[in-house]
Amino acid sequence: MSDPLVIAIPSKGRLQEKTEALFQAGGLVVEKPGGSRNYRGRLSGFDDVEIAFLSASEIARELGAGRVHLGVTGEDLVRETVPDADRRIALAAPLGFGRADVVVAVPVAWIDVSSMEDLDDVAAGYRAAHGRRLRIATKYWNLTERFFASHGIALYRIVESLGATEGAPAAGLADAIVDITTTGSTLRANHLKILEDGVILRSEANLAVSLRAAWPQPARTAAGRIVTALPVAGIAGGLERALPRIETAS
Amino acid sequence: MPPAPDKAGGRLARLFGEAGATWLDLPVLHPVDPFLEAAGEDIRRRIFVTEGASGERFCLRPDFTIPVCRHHLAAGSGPARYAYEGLVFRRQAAGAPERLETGFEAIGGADEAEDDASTLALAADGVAALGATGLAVSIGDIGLFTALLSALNLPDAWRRRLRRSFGVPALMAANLARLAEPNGGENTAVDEEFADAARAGDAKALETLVAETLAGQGYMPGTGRTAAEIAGRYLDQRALSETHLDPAILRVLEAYLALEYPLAEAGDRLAAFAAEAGLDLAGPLALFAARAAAIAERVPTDTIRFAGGFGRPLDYYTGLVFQITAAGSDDPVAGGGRYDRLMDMLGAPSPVPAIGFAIRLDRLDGGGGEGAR
Repeated sequence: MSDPLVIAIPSKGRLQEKTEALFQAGGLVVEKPGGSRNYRGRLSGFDDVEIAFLSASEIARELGAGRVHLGVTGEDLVRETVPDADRRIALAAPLGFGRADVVVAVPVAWIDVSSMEDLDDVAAGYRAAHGRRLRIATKYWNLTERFFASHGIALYRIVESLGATEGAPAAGLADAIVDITTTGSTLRANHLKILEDGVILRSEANLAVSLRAAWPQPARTAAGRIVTALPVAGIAGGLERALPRIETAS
Repeated sequence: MPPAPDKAGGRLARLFGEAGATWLDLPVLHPVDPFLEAAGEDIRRRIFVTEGASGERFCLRPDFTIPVCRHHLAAGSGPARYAYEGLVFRRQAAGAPERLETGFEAIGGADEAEDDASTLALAADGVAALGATGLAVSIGDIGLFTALLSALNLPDAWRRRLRRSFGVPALMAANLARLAEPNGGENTAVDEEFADAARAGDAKALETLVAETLAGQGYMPGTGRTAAEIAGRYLDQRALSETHLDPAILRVLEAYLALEYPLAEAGDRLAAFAAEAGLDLAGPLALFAARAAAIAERVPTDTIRFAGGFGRPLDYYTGLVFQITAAGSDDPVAGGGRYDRLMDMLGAPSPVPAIGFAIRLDRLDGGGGEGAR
């Protein structure tokens, strides 16, 4: 018996519910031996498949490290958590849930700022006016750094945000934010507006394939069977395109 | 063979000592904040950050300039010169993440032209003492470029943008093109009453509206951008959206950025350029001439070229910038510049002029010296 194919699925919240519903719709039954506190499970009818229950950001990290083969997690977490993500992880297909945009938002009262170009200008003049750099509150350090760099913006500081990022500007903890939003209502309630070209990423949950895991033939066969069962458009093709990239990735 | 490290310091301990430098042995780990505050968050991608026992963030020094400046601030002394040698650490896509550098910083000197010239000469002497031949020196002048932007009477926002593009040709070209194209319409959708105040050019009314908005939305007063700042920039941008960079000014800027002369004739050529463009650059050109004369006393000027477009985008650099290449490669073996605004950013109570350079020992040791990879 070879090493099992490991599939990581979210262990809590909406992502968990949606993922389990998706598997059920494909006739796949996730078994959790030992009750809900067990972190490893099985897939009914698949002897060589192991299910790992992890948080969505742990799933991104484990895919990047090659310790799980397949996982359901958000593209935002893949791009934030995993360095050089495109060489480590392939996104087989978006799953139609877990939608969230990662955006740059500033106070509505900043009537003079509507684009990244405006923000660049404000950042450049900030130190002369206030004796410190412009501050951006976010949990998305890497996405923020890359996006700001792509707009040529260097003169700002990131303030680590652990809780309610959207409250940071009004509280005086930051000037602007980078955060996720689905409907924009939380931003509006906090008197923040998204910059016109400030959408960093339109993210949703994906079936992600680790390009760093060992992929012996039995694992590939099992993955193909499982993915084909899932009622998601293009997902089998996504896996097929990902698998040939594994040999060349390391 | 380059000289071996001296017990009293590094390979160039004697040379730097004769130039009046105090030798510094500085820690490898430094608080990360001063680096991020001075160079901006963007540098975080290029440095190694780690944590202390109680969560404080440190980085492995990415260069020596900020550590030397902080040492100087802590020592609280008057003008001083420092020298160092050691590893610096940078995250990069290719090549080793650590390399050996030696260098020199002159902090608090009062004579800009003399200090510029003697520092540049010391860098050239140092590189030569390490065995490099066929030296070529490129120099640029950030002070002259910012004076040019002032003399052209460009709006503040445009000056800021061009200043932070200086020395990055692709960014500069993109920004010049962007400013040259007509920029139709207002920049942002705002409530009717704001728009009314803006159309009436009523800065006071607009400021009041912004202030009321900020207060009504629970913003802590005194923690961020002020109503006056927001209203002022809104009106500025509104005026700018109806204009664009004058083609004549664009031609002057493009011509300046393309200037390249041997240092010996650069002063005269720049004066002629300013006269032809009808610009008063007398102050910065006098400094340029004094510096060029002081350099000519120390370094063979036929090895030195001035380039109008050579600069650095970071806002703490203020004047002379230079780099030195040796025979066989276009990669600089030394680079330096004047950073009169850095000490202030690091917390000096008043502005302190400063200039320094670093020598890339990894590019000079030819792989044979200790510390090279």
